[in-house]
Amino acid sequence: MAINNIVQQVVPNSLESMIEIVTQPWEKAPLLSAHAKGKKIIGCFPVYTPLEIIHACNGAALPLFGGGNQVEIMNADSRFASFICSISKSTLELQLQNKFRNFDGVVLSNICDVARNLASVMKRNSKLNIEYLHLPQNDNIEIALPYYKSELSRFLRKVADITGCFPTDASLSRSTALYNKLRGLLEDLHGFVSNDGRLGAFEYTVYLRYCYSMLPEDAVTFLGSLLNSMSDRVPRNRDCIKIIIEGAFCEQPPIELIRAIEETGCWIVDDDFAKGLRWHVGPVQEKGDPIEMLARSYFESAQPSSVRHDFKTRREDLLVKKVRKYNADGVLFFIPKFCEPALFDYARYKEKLESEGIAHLQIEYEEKMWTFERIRSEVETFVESVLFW
Amino acid sequence: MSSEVQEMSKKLMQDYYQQLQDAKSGGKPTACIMISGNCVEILRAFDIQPIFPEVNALQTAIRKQSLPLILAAEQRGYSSDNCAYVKADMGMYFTKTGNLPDPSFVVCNYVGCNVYVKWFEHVADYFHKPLIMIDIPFLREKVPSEEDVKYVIRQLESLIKHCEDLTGTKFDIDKLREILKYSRISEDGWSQAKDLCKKKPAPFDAYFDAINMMGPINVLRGTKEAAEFFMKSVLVYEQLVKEKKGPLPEEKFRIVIEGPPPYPYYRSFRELFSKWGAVACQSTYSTVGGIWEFGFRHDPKKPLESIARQMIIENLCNRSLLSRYNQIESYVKNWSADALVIHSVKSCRLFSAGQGDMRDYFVHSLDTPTLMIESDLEDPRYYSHAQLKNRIDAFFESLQHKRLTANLRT
Repeated sequence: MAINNIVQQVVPNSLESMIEIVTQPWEKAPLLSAHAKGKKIIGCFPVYTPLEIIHACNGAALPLFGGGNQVEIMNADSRFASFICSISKSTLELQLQNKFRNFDGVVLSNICDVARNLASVMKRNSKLNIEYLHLPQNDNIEIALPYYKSELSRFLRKVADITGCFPTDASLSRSTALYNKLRGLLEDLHGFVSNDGRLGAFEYTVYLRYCYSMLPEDAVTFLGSLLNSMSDRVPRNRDCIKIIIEGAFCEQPPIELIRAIEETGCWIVDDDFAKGLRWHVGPVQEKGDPIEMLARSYFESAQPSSVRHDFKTRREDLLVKKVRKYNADGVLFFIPKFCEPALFDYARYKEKLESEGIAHLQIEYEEKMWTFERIRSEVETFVESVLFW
Repeated sequence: MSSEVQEMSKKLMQDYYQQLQDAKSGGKPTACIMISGNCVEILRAFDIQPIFPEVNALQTAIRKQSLPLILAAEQRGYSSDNCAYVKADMGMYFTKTGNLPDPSFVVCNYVGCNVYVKWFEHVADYFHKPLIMIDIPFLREKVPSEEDVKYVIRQLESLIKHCEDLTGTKFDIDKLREILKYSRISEDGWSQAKDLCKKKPAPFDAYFDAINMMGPINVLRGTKEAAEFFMKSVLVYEQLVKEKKGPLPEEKFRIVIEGPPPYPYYRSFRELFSKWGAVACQSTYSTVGGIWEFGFRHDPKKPLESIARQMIIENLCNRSLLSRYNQIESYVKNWSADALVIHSVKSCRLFSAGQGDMRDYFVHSLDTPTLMIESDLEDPRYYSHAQLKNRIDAFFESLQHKRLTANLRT
């Protein structure tokens, strides 16, 4: 599918080319070219990393989503057992195969027990700077805010050590503003997914990940042009059911699988693919102490997430609200094999949805899968059951 | 283990479960709390009876009752890939099994294990009770920052406030200091007992027998009874050392074991090692609640700070995998082990994720004979006796062969 009239210097001429980039960002991300100009590249393992800090330190942050189905596991299997998720193995494999040769560091955080141990294994097996962030899990902001500010400051110092640039408050605020702009444009773009379906979730996900494979300045330019081109499109007009996807926040399904789901008759009005890139709901405050504003937004305006404890607003209630908001016909739980946070939350979601009479289906996937017939057939049956029964 | 120590431990745990039943019938306040790096002393300062879901879960496995509970949880939507401890515990609630009191509230001491957070969200949800989160910053530098420590202390103070509101009792710091004195005595005893395992033969198996000391140190820490248990146990072990007696008639191999045991097949798993004369002189699993053998003690003079520091630094769970490598390395060297055995359990990714790398490190960097085997700590479906036997036999055969050929050469 050709995409015309978009800034040519940063945009490949087809969606297929973008797919190639987003599925192999460690080699093909446009921002890697900044490395040759002396910028330090920091890879960010899912789910959430405060990218603003890396940017303000004059680094280039590249969100990572494992090797997908683009890397053959040759050594990582011997480090992680068979019951460990695929993304941790493929990420380690990329490192062992020296695919991160242009990187200067990788950031991981306390999303799950596997990620914390992956940080150690990566540290032992490379000379890369491996940084580990402890994102707060206490939902009482009065107690947790001073800690989180100190953690973000620590992180900033670590990144600055790598890049050699310690930012001023003004430059931090500018980075916050830039990422606010980027997130705002992506939200506008997502409106075409959820409001009238003129853009599919598959295509949106490609753009989302593509934008973060560029420097944010370039992504903003790209998105401006892309949004202008959306008026040429016609809204979705086909038999389908409206669904919400939940559970795919860390390890990503093969991008083609999202297309396959849409082809079965699902209009994916909302999803959590690459959720960390859409972590903040609304802009981060740009005035005031920039570290404090970033820290506050983690508590006050973050998406509900399986990897952030918040017992004041129950995730299952929010999911039901989302279903009502979009008038969705059901929920597809799209959960990577062995992903404990998503699997635990599923038990609570299931109970809640059943009590509310909301249709749902659980699908298990792995990033490395390349045939989708079984899943396609399951989803087709689900769609038919909602449409005709 | 000396049968005397085993009997004392059994009695203490029976009394503990009786206290839980008394709390239920007497309507006394109770709180769920996890084992790893916990702050049970604060609950004790308010006479709140602690409930340990991990201990309850493992008790069902030892009694071979865990599978129906796991299946009951799976019927409710829990995955076969979720931690089976959680499923067995939730399964007890779903099936109304056992005679435990409902918790008055839930204290989630999030000490490195992310499953704890999910588990206690589910427990609090099920019982419609408040959840008090104690978020412990992971030990990501050599030492925690002052802000890390302050953060934990602030959360402990919040817990204290909650306990005051629940019980209507004002916090008495002197009572907490007194409790911490008992904790200290237990920690001293634990440490001395572990240290005696440097002797040959070790007076007890620091993996299979340490389990009986784990109840008193983790569940009953801060009580006079636990302190007395350790003082008596050390005397028993010292006597065994004098008499050169160990848990087996002959100690042929000294091993360090990493990872939790397969509780559903505890005895038969142990026999796979005993038949080779293999005795664990150290183990990492025994330090999930706290690492006492390197000198840390709770400090009655700095009650909250020392509790905070123990939760952040002095337990296996809140440390990185590389710190665990260092811990094991020290065990192999200072406790004179012949080999390392890694028991990888599916349920606990905190333990098992990356153990292949651990094996690689010990074999290739340290030249330590290392065996890696797999099963589960709670779910009997993942235990394959024949397969484990084959691997363990082959490992010790090769160790024996190495030893013989080395003797011939000398």
